[in-house]
Amino acid sequence: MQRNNQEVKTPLISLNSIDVTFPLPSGPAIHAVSDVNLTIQKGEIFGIVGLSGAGKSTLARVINLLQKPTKGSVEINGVPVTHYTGAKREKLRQNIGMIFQHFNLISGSSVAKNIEFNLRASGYDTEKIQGRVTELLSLVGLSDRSHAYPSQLSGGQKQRVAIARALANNPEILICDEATSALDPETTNEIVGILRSINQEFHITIVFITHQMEVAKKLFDRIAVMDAGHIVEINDTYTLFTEPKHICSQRLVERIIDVEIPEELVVKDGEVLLKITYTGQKAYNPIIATVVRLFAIDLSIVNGQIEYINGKPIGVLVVLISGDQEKRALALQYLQENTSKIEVIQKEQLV
Amino acid sequence: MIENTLSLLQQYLLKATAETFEMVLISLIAALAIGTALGLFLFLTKTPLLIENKVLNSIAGGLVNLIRSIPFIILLVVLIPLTKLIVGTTIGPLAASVPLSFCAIAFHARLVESSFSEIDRGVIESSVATGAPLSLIITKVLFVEARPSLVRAITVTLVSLIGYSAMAGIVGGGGIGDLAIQFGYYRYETGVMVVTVILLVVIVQFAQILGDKIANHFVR
Repeated sequence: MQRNNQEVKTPLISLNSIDVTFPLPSGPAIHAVSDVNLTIQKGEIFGIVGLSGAGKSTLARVINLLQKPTKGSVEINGVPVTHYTGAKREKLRQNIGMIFQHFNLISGSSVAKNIEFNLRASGYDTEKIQGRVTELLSLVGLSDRSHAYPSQLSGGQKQRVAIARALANNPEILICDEATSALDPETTNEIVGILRSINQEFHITIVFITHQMEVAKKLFDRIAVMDAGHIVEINDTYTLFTEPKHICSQRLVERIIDVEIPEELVVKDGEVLLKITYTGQKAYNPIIATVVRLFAIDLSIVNGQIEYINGKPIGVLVVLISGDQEKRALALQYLQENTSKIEVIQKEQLV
Repeated sequence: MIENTLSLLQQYLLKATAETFEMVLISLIAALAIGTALGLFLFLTKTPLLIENKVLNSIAGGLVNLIRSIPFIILLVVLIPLTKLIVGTTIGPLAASVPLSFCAIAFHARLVESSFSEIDRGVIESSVATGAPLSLIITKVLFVEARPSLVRAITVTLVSLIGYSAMAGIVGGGGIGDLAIQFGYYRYETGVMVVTVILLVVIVQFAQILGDKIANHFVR
């Protein structure tokens, strides 16, 4: 499931020391993005995650110059574009599709006309426009809705029109700004599926902004975590989920991988409450059965969860171990050696 | 009494109605052409992703405010020299159309500006993100999205113009309103007053209903 291993990595988007500040008429300026350095490779699905107000949308808009950076430079394919204006900037934007949380379709135009707008924007051959619109609509499975108006479509359908529109001019880059945040989980999966397949089919580079870790887990190759205008951590998705370093990353990952410990649970003398995290191949080993057999301890599973990220498992298990001191210690040692991480949970922590 | 009213109406009503139509039509065309362009300019120059320009926006906005702050009855008089320059006379419906047009342009420009301002910012942003040239954004996004609101703005301007045209009598512009003043008020011809008022009410109602119908047709 690792996606881009067949391709040679070539940087497509480079953001160098990007600062974006918004001056306020009263008081100090808002520092939306601070000193961001980022390189996004050709063909990857790159996620920028963070809480709202972290500056991710502003950062995404720097890529297609909807937001001019206060400081720093943007390079696309190694060419500095930060200073682009007029026709040059228009040309750049035609190479960068963008979809939005609230779809932002032209409400007074039909589905076909919405897509046609993007083609006209790039000066597409007028005679070929109809054919291209038909092609794009079938790509997103909306061939029968070309005459419908946006208000007659569901959220998922609107986003599919937006995707078709964004792909109209065969852009190299697709920016998704919270593109699934206004959709229900089922529709979110549908859109995630479409994005993944266009990434594979057209090798389009996707930059996806979101606060939804479910989407991050399913879609991204690499993730940058943003907090208060800074990028605090960048890693491949699996590593970020299994070993989040920054507190902000840990909080975000906890939303996906978290196990609750019931408040009623009382840890008695001679018992130990343990949180076991296992990743990669270790997740497949029959570790629990082995430890019970080897050390003759009692082990009850309190809670547990297994997630698959890019096809690789990450599991968390909370167990209560009872038995005599010596056996417990041996069991703990064995678990320590054969899993990724174990944490003894103190009773105080439960409150 | 009734015979007198009827004969007065027979004599003047048709002419007065034609004069009102002439004045309203000329100034409405001016409002549609220049007022819409000015309103669009005001919107474009105040919107960051389009052609935001505070200086140009203040100049255009100041000009509109200047005209809008002068009461129409005074504008009628103030513009007399300009009227003479443009149409060669200061009397009659054509002459009255000049100040009426000024008023209509400024009035309509503000309505158009606010119609465009109602467009969802996200839609504008997404159209700018496509790399479309401004001309395409104006014709295929701004005018499309603001269409129902623009039609309503035209209706409001039209109805206001019918009202303002009643004051045109001051400069000998004639029209239905003038007829009501001249006969209905100065000569105590209540019958004439009643008929002209009813006629104005009917015209305005008709304009409003038609405008609403067209606007609703464009709502998606």
